[in-house]
Amino acid sequence: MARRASLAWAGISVALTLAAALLLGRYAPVQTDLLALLPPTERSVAAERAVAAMRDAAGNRAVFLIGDADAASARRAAGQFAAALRESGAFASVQLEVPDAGPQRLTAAHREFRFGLLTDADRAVLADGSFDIEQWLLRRLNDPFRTPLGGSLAQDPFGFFDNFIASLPYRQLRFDLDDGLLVVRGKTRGVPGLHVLVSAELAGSAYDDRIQRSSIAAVAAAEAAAHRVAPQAQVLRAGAVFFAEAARGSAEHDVELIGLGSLAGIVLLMLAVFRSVWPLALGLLTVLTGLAAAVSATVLAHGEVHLLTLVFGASLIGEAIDYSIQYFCLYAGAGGQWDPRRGLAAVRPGLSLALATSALGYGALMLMPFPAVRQIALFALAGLVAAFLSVLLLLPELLRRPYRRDLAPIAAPASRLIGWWTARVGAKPAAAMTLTLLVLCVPGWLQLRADDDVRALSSRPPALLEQEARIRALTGVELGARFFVVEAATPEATLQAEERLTARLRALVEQGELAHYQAVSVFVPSAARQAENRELLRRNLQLEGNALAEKFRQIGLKSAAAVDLAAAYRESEGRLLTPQTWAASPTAGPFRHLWLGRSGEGYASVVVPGGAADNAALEALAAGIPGVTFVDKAASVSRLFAQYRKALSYGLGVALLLVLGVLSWRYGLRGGAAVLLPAVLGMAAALALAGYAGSAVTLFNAMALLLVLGVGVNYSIFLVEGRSRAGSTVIAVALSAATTMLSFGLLAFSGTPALAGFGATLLAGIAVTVLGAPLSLSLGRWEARR
Amino acid sequence: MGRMIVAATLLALGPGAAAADESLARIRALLDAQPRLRAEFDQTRRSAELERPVLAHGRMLVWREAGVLWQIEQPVKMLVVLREDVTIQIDANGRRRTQRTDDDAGAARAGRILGALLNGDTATLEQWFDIAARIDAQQWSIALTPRRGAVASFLRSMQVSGDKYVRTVAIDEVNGDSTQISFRNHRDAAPLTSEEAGLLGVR
Repeated sequence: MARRASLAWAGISVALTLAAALLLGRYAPVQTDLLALLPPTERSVAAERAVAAMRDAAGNRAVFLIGDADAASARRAAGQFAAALRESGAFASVQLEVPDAGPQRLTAAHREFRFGLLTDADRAVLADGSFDIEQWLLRRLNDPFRTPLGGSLAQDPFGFFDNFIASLPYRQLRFDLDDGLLVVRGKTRGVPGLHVLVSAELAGSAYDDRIQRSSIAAVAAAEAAAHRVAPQAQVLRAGAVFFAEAARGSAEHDVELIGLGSLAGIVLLMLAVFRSVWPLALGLLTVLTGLAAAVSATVLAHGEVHLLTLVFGASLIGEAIDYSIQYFCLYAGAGGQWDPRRGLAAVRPGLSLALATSALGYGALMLMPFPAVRQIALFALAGLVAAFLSVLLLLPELLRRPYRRDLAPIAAPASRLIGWWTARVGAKPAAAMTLTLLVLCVPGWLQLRADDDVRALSSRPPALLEQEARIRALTGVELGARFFVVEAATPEATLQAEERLTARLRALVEQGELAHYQAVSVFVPSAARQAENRELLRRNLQLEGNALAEKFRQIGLKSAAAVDLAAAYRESEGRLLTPQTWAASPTAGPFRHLWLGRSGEGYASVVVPGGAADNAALEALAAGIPGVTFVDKAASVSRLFAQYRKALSYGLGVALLLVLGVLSWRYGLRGGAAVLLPAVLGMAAALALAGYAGSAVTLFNAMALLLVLGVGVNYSIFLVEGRSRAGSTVIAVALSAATTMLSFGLLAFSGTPALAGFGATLLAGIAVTVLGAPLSLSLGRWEARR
Repeated sequence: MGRMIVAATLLALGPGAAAADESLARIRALLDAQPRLRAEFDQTRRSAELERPVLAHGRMLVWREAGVLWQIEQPVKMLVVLREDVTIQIDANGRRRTQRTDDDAGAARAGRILGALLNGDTATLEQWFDIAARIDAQQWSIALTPRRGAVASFLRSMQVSGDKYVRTVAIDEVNGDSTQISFRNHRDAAPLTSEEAGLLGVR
């Protein structure tokens, strides 16, 4: 029976290993998108969609500014750069020249609707009764500073359309069209120069590592090509692909460091203690099956493995090997009297209890609504269960011959140490030590502060951030991390809600608190507003009868122009510019993503504020306008982090009670509390150390505390369970703790702040827990139960 | 966009027009001697849409570190303040239209050109124009032809001529309209009235 189970598990292990190798190696479903780790943060579906749309608008493009103090060099360098990118074939398309984006083309989409389109300033003049046809026309005729974008004098004699076009947010984009290139003028390496825009569309997702590799290589080659013709040229880049690639690089580095580091550490420790290759090989076998099961389960459940999970998984090695270490120590301690069955019986209760407490810890993490955390928890659970099964089912079969060496040289001192401890340190001194430690913790706790910044999740290289900031400053392009979502039942109602919002935004702009804003209703006023505008023009321009023609003649304009204007006005009756028409026109170009269109039951759009204005002020603007929500992804994520950090803190309390329940069931209440105490001290000390170190407590530290509980309590369990064979037990616990601290300690060096914090908390917590584990022996009434 | 062209021209084409060209350098040297001046202007606008040319006249004040005041007196009252950071239009009723340069590419360009000119940044005008200059004793003329691009879509060319001052500016638009401006009665600008100083932001 047992034999058959062992064979079956051996078969499953091999299958899992093959599956995992195949899944990771062949299909590489390794996810690097950090935001994919986060749950939906927004209240409405439209807001979530808006967030996704805004990301996509920037996500699969890479943007470059090729700058040089010498304009001709900049143009030449940009030409070489674009040619090299094209030649590489790594990008789906590369754009350098802009075929025809002159003002005429810009105005074409709006021209036939022009009588419904007015700027707010012109509306104000037309509405307050101060409009004077003659004065207005004369000013316009004699203004040498006018920019005739709207058309000829006859087409737009009053310049209303001119003003409207000039008010469109194209002007916020600081690009100029220069010899067919989009250029920005600004400083390059501290001196004024010309920057040429090159934009490229990725051949696939920015988070696909093949796409990352090919596009990064192509960009490097293109940069070299640009420098061949213009050695001083500066290449600035922005795009999700660069950050994704950097994140992948940093995570891969972490996986290597932690994986190899903890493996090497484990190999050395195992060899040093057991002085035999066989336990080492078998230990690694259990780790291997654990990892294989973890990867397979994760890919099966989530369809992919996130890089952060792999980084975490690398540190799981140190925990998965604990079970086999317990078994080996028992094995080595037994010497010549080794009986695999009896050995198994002796070690099983402790291992089961240890697995149960770890499962409680990770199980609690699986309840979190963070895909990332759930994935990590599933990964860990599957890995630990598989490692546990391997120890129970494979090791007794594979480890039949007795241990030939002697563990006594190290087991005996360890045994004496524990003997000394149990003899000398009774319940009272142990309680005093506990109290002392807690008192020492208090000042640390008092210095604790929380930090819920989303940036903990990513390691964004400062150089890339700086380049992105430079591009933003040079071009005026808003990358849209915060915006308003406007939802309503119909497109018209959406635009009207936008207009209520933009009226408030305009007030902020006039007060100088906001630089500008981008909204669909700026391009496409609501039907009501367009009708109002037409009515304002009709009333003020005296389009009926001969009055206007007479005024034109007095001023010197051909009176036919007045007749034509009236005719054009009449002809455009009933014509309405709709968001759909606008979005379909080439004019919409860089602003098309603002119109989300159908969304659930209604329609939705996005309004993007530009420049500095604090979030509270913007959020207050949205208040009271039905259907308008202010979205700040970074802030919502931070809010979410805070919420779960708090929830997890309460969860920690619940988990403590649960674990205490499980332990009390086996050891009685006092025994259970004694076994739990070292882990509680570990958590307390880890928090205090964070306070002393001045590092903030994040959601990830709270998660680590949960694991200090789940993992740390194992040491007391092992110690209490194995107290009859103290020497080998102490070695097993020390070895377990050493491997765990090694792998989590290495995690503390991760480039990702969240993982580093996680690792540091675990390291401190586990260290204190294992050092405090003997307290369990002192505080419980163990001899009585013997 | 027009505003930057004229402002640039009036302000002192000299410093803007590349020193690489020797003629331009000499023109610039002539204009540099008069960084603050007042003048009167007459402006004639011609267009196929007009029954007859439209005439206007007014006064101009150039204060190189601060900006330009362009005051039309006839046939309508209008004041345009061109500053590096802002462009303000004030009509006869005192109604102001203000455009900050940081949110308006046209005005921003004007502001940047002004700034560049005032600081002797010679490369700036060449960003938009091909420049041809001729100087003969004290008489000079410059032709500016916009390169392919936004400016070229409505402006055909500009000609500027003068001696120790800018004397004439001619602007030809793509649609056939044209504007001629001639300046007279140049004199030193100082002192500024408190109103002018306020408008120009000079303390």
